[in-house]
Amino acid sequence: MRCEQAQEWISKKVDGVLAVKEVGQLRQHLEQCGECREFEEDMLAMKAWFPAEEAVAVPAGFAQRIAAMAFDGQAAAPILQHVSGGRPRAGSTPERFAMQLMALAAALLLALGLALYMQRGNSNHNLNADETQTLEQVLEELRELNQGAPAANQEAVPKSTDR
Amino acid sequence: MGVVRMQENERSDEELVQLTLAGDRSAFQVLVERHQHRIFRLARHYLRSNAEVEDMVQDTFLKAFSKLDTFQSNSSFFTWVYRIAKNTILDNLKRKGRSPVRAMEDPEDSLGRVAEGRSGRVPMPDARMMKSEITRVTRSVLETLPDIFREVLVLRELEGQSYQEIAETLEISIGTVESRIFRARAKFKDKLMQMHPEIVEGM
Repeated sequence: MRCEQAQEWISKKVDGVLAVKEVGQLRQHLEQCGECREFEEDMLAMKAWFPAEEAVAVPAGFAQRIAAMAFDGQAAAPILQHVSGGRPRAGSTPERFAMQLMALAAALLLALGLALYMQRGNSNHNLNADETQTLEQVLEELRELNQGAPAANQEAVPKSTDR
Repeated sequence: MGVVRMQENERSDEELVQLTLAGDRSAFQVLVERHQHRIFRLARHYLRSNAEVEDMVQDTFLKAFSKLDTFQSNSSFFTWVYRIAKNTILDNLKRKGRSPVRAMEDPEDSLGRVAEGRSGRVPMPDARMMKSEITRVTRSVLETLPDIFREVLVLRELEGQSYQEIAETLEISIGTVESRIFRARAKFKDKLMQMHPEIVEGM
């Protein structure tokens, strides 16, 4: 048996999946081969570098949130606490959607405020009731002046025919 | 509601998939609850921050939901979701320029190099090392391995999957699983010695 084959079998042996008849052949090889015996010890030592994983902390309500996002769309998902320290994800979380709504509301308020301001500005340029009255009075005076003007002119300029 | 959830908890994955496709929200919730821990653990082997992990698991289950009508019961639901998770994580890493080492950088016929690279003996972790310290060292070594080797070690050593399950999950033959695990261990040993010589010196 070649060492390469033996070492592949050693890898299977430490996982407990080597067939019984192969175990016998491997044992014979190991009795004669120091390098492969060391390889077997290395493989066993390596197992110790993979300790049982600690439990993974899944954020509370994660499955409920995913189901809500899947069925109702992401906007409908409830905003839940990220107990694992994970942040709300940019681009698709309910938190981001709420922020987008707030930004839209702010923009609408700004537009409404501007419209009101402009309307008020325009109304300042219109004449108010007092000013209208004053203008009418001025116009009336002008009309009166215009009506009196020909007589005055006539007085000022004597007709040539009178001479 | 509680009775309904209890009944759904007793259903098989395949039944829950059918109920989900029929519009049963709580069936999908049970499916997520059933597999979320393993998918979170998988994501943690590839990603560093909790936020990234949560994002990727969320994307995985939403993708699974959107493709649920393509799920076929000839593989297990977990195997199917695992593949979605792995592709989602690797695509994300690639987009961020943090693509893990790919298979093409380490061709299958590199057994010779594996043998050449063996130098020194693999020490057992120091008895004074905390479990978290061992995990940190192991993770740092795993991160440097080509993806094809990292994934078999994760599935075998950390997930405790059988060779048959690994073959189904990765859609490869049992023979390939055996050979890949053997080579992955040899690679892991080389990298461990290279990256953490203090461990060897401390023997």
